[in-house]
Amino acid sequence: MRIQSFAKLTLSVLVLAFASACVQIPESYVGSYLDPVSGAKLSLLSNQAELLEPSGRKLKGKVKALSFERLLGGKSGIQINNNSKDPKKVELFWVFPRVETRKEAAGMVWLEAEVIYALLDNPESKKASRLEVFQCRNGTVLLDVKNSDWQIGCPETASYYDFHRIKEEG
Amino acid sequence: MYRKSVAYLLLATFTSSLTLPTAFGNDLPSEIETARTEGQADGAADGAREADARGNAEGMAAGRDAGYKDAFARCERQEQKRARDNGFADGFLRGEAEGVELGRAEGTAEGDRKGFEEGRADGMRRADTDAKREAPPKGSAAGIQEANGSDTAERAARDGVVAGDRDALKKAEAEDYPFGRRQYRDERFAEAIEHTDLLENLLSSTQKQGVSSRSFVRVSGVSAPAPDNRFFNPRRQYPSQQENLAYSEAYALAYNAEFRSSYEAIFQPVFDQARRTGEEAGCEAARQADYRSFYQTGWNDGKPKGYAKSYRAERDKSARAAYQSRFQEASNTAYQQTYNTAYERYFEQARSEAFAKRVGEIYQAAFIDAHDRRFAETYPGHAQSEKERGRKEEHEDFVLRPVRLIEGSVVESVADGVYEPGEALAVSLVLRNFADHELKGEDIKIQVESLSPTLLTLPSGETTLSRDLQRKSIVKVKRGFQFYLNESALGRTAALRLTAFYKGRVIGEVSLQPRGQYSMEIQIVETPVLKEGLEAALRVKVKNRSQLPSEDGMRVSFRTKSRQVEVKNSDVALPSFRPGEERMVEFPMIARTEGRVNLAYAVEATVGSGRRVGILDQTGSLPVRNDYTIEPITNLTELKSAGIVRLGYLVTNVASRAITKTLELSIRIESKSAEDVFAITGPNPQFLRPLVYGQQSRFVAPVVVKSSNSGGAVFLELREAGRTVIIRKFEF
Repeated sequence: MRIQSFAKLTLSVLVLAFASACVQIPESYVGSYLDPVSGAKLSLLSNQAELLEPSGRKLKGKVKALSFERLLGGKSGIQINNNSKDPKKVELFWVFPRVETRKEAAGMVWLEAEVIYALLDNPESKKASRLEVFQCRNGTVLLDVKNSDWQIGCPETASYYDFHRIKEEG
Repeated sequence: MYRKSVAYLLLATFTSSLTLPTAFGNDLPSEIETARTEGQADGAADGAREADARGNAEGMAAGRDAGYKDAFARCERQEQKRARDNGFADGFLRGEAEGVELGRAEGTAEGDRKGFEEGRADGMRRADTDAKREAPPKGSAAGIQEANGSDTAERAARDGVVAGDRDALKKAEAEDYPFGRRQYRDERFAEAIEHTDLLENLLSSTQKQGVSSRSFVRVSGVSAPAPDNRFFNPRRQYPSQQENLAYSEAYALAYNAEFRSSYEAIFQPVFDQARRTGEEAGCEAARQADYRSFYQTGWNDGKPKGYAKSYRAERDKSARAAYQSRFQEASNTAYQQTYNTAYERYFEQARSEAFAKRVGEIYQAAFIDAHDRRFAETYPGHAQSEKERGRKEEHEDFVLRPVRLIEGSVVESVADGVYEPGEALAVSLVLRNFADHELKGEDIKIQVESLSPTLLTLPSGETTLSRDLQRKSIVKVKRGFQFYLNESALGRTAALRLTAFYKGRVIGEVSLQPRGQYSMEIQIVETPVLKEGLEAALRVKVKNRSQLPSEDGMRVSFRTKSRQVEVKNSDVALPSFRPGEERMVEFPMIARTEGRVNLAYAVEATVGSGRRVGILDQTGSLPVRNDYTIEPITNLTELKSAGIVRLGYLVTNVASRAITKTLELSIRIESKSAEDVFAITGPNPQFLRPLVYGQQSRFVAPVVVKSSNSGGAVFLELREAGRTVIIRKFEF
């Protein structure tokens, strides 16, 4: 009996751990959006996203945990994080590192990358009607190998989109 | 079983997150899709089976229990209320009977007593009223007759004569005497002036001079429980591991979902039916309980209310009857006993009042007549003599004080209409000699006294004239006493008293009130909100409030000893501007600290000679509000030694509400020496993740230090969406 209880407890912890790691795009943000100024379109599903730029260029991605190791390996993906300061906000980092630009010095590794960022505000509330996003092709991924810290960002020339929801998802 | 299902769910989750193809839009192989479909069908069927089994049993039990409890409570409350109401009614009737009996007895006694007392009072009052009406006319007539027979008229006439004579003299003294003096004085002032002297300074100087050279100075409903997985059985097997995993995942998810939706559909109707059955049983049980205590509570409550209702009405009724029979008897008796005494009292009172009034009338008429006749007889003589006395005494005063201080004023050394601190000021005065002979200057003493010693400096305040005064002359002394206002007199009025003496006698006194001001008024127009490392400006307005144009090249300067701000240009020269005009002056400055800068500073205006002509002396608190802060988390002294230094920093969003904006951090290091000692390795600027309000982020920048050095300064500049929000400087 004691062994069974221990096994249940262990499995419960594992389930919780996986549940937290396997995050998804919040239900309130799932849907299709249009930036009326630029014509850019954004589609969000619970575990994948698609961006159609005004130029016709299309980007697709799956929600994938962007661990420090994956970034270090130059892997792309979409990371969904609860904001460390405000639990009602969720950050979305969508990154496409260019492995060929990888450099390293003094415990620091950096790569050039295309970066898309959005802050999802209060995702537990009703359906979101708008979403602000910035995107740049000349962003960077900075990795501090010693402290396993990372920074993903864009220069000030990034493109800003003000997406408005255009239809309900079935 | 539970462990098994959790393991499947775990496996399914793991599979969906790690082993599915990573490229969005790729189709799944059809075999895997088939396995998933079959998993969903099997799981849904098994989940529905558990929901059917549990929903009926659990709904029945829960419904019965809820219905019994709710109905018992409701019916119990109804029975309790009924018992209380019955008790109340019975108690009320009993109390009502007791109230009638006692009220009657007490009311009768009270009415009898009160009727006697009030009847007696009524009789006395009637007797008094009748006497008051009947006695006074007879009393008054007696008093008037008595007065008319007295010696009042003779006495009043004697008194009137004495008073008339006295009043005539008082009037002459009060009016004709000063008239005589004034008349004589006016005659003297109207005399011709034979000599006028306009002198710069006639005073012999015991006063210390030396003033002029001073510089200016916020869910409910049935919700399904978790399935216990009693029918959980993923039973199919496929050729590939991927198919088996897809089947297992779909089975687990469908079992869970189907259980929850079916459970809720089954549970609620069964629950509702069982609840009605439970309600009937609960209510019957409540009706069988003992409620005697509630009856007693109602009885206890009703009895005093019944008593209160009947007692008061019966008591009042009995009291009224007893009162009425007793009142009239007592009233009549009292009337008869008190009338005569009241009559005598009112008669005497009227008699004495009429006597006094009549005596007064007789006295006043006789007195006035005698007084006025006497006044008219004697006043002219008194008036003439008093006027003559006045003229004579004024003449004697002019003999004793033949010279007078006529006027006193303050004059400036710079005639711009502004008394500036430090400006050489002087008291001017005018003296007049009325004598037909010369007066010696040494007999005339002039005294100036400071009544505001903290506001002005008066080196000395007393002197005598150094020169004699000619006969029938006026002497104007332009700069008698020199003094200057201190800076404490700015915006305040100082006071001086100028007094002149002739042979020790006061010959005049004048009060002087100069107000201290600078010719240039300096006011803050805009206090800057400083951001560390960024330039802002303190703006002031300079207004010329003098009557002269400002001096060309006048300098307006910002002065502070604080090192928390860098003032880039602290001196501004202004061209001349006219009286009443204003000029704006800006002082650009950069904060070199966080938080509020408590800054003691002064803004002053000076002219070429160094003389201050305006000042804003203020100890201010200038706010420093940055949207972000940056702190180094590395010991910066490491930058003095050759090698590679990992320069760590911590960025905090302390005020910015802009949440989807880029962030860039630029690093610049300056050496104290002219050599190029430092090089930043890696991207500079570094593009950082956006930070929400209150969020922090730390990172590192490798710095190559080429050689040992004596130190320098690290500049960390943060830009939000291209806008510099802070530049921090750290010296090492």
